[in-house]
Amino acid sequence: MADLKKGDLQRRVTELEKKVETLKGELAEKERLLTSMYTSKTWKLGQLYGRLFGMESFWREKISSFAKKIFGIRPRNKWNTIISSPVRATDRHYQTLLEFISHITLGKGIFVMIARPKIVEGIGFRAEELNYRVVGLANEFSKEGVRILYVFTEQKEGVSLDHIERVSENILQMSIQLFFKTFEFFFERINSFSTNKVLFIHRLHPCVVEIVCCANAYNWTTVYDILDNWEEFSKAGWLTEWYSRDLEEFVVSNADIKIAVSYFLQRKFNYSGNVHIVHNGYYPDSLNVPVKNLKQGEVTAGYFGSLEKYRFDWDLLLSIAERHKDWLFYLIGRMPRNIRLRENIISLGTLHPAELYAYAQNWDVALLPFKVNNLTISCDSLKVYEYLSFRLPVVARGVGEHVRNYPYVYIAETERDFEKYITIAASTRIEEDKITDFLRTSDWSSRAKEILTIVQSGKPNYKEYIFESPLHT
Amino acid sequence: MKVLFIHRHCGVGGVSTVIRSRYVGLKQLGIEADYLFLNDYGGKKIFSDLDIRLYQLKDHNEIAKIIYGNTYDFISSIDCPELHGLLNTLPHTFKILCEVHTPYPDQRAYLKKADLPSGTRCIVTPSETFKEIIRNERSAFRDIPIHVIPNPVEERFLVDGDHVKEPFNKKYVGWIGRLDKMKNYQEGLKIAEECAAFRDDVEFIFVGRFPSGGGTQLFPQILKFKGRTKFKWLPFIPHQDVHRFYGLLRESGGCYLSTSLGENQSCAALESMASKCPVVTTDIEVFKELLEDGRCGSIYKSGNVRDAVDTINKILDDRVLRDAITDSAYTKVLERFTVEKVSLKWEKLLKSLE
Repeated sequence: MADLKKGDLQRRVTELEKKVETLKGELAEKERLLTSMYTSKTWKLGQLYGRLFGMESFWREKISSFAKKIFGIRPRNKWNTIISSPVRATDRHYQTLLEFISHITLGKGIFVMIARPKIVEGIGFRAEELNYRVVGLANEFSKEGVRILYVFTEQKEGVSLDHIERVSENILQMSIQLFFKTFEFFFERINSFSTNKVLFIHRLHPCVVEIVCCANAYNWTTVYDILDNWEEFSKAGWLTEWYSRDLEEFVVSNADIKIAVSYFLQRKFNYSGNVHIVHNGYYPDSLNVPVKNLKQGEVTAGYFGSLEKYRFDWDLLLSIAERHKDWLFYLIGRMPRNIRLRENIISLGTLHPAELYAYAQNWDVALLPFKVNNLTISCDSLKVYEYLSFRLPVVARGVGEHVRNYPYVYIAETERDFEKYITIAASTRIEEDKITDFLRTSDWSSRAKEILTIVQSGKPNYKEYIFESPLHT
Repeated sequence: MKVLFIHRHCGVGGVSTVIRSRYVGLKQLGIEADYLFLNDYGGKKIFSDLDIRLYQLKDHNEIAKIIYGNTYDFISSIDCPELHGLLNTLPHTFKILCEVHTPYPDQRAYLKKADLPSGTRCIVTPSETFKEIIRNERSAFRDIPIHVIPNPVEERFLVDGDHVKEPFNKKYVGWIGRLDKMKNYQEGLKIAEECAAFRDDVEFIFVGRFPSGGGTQLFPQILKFKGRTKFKWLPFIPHQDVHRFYGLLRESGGCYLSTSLGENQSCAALESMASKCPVVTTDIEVFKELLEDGRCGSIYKSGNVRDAVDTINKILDDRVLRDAITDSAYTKVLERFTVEKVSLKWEKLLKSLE
């Protein structure tokens, strides 16, 4: 029996050896083919063509126009990649939009909001999402009875681009790719409704160009909400996949209303006419979260948010931590590479936003230690509002100038100032009346009202003249 | 008397607006006019306030039924060679006219191919210059007379007296047309670019679509634009609001700009003239005829962006020149291009063919 088994196994081994030999032969043949392919002129031309992908240069233009002339082809660039999309609008999509339109409450209006993040699937918002400006505003507008078509530009694995989802009774969500296929249908069908029609652009995208122009032609009010200094982000190596100054200037030039979150951004775009200011805000979430006890220092300070080097001033923090070994610093967020933390700087890693308050309750003071550059001083950090809503005094550097006027916020110009203000802030007692006054006018509900007032203040006179003037009628 | 106008497409551009005005004028003279087209490209809605009969048909049998059923006295085919075969089969009791309006040479290739219906009584074009162009292009039917009947301008464009000036903080320069090579929109962008480099009180508004819809065709143009963006883009202006657009250009102290390389007469230029909005155009022959070599509008050398900017600057800054030009243009419109004047020409022509 054992011999039989041994014989079988030997046969099997022989068979497999033969197979290995055959496969080796095939492999050698394929390698030969590959070698001949790699050395072929077609392959070399293909390689050259491939290297042109994404190249934005004089030579790219020259070569591509030559290629187009000769072969009728054009190398793809980053814009083509962003714009081209396999998403197709189906009857079902149109039906959903029609159904959505049919429930518009006259007098309340309909807003299209183009933003980056996709709202998490499911009915309603999650509390942590409501702290984002666009989501917070969408939530507040919808509470007023406004119907909202929320269009997200986020493109990442697992995010479906060809679905329309109901977020809440008044909010429908779809991708920019799908909206780009349906926007003209949407604007046309809604044209007969004499109601507030507002397009908000919170995030730029190449498709926005045609959408904003079309919305203008259908006499919608178009708003560019300038959330950040995208140009500086792009220079810092972020957002390069979609940012273009030309694109932003075109949107600024064509939007009826411009709203900026900071005075820096207001000044940057004021050449195009009046730029309104509406700062960021916060969502007044319940603070009944049990504290997660942390080790305390003589002074306990903390920060949550992005720790990336282009914004976060590591030198400042490390230097202060070096001088004050009895102070403890807690950091919440993803640590960048190549940072060696001192013993009195503790990284808690990334946490769910709902957990922040549980840890922050341990802190005497909250920090915003940012580098001072055009990127940081043009921002309106959401964290200021969150810290203050947590009743924490704030010491900051590299933030928008408007933050100077906020209660319990200490703005440092120098490292020494920053250090001094930590001491002062740590011994500051927050007066509830004072902070409540500030917070009452800084939540998303107040910001939404500010924006609605601006939106209702009228359209630019070129539009009023073309679409609403009684002249000749 | 009953006329059927036939065209390939019912778009929002020239031919549809011409037929609209023509319908209104002929009706006042007791002449019925119907409009048949093969495809609707959004033009149907510009007739929504009129009781004109519109037929959107492609099937030749259906079209024949309409023609026989309505006993038209005249059938006018406006650049619609697709139906010339069908028109050839009609008895000679139907009097056929062929109108040539398209400035696109490939779309009037039927003239070179001698593809006109056999019973064609005459050819009609909107301008003398265009008449010469097609006279040279047709290879046969040299015995068929060519008549010039200009495009009419609707009454709503006509401005009577001065209007209260709106407080505009910039002067608008407007451009309207299809975004293609013939209309030469890219030169318009270059002019906007050059203009923005020298003055900040001017903004350009481009109105029009690319010939084939879909895709972000506008975006690459923006990336090509050098300097600070000083232009707005509207894919369209609703038909009922177009006269207000010229009003905006006029009242803001701006002008209408055409960079076109080919026109039959240019409805947009005419409408602008009627609106007392100064016109700046290329130096193609059709414009020279319409603008009387600069008396009724300013002309720049096509392809010369610097010249275009200088011409625009003059019209924006020289009040005397501006008034002289707009007054001459307006007078010319009143004399020759009102719906009433043009309809009388049509009546005269149709009666002569009876």
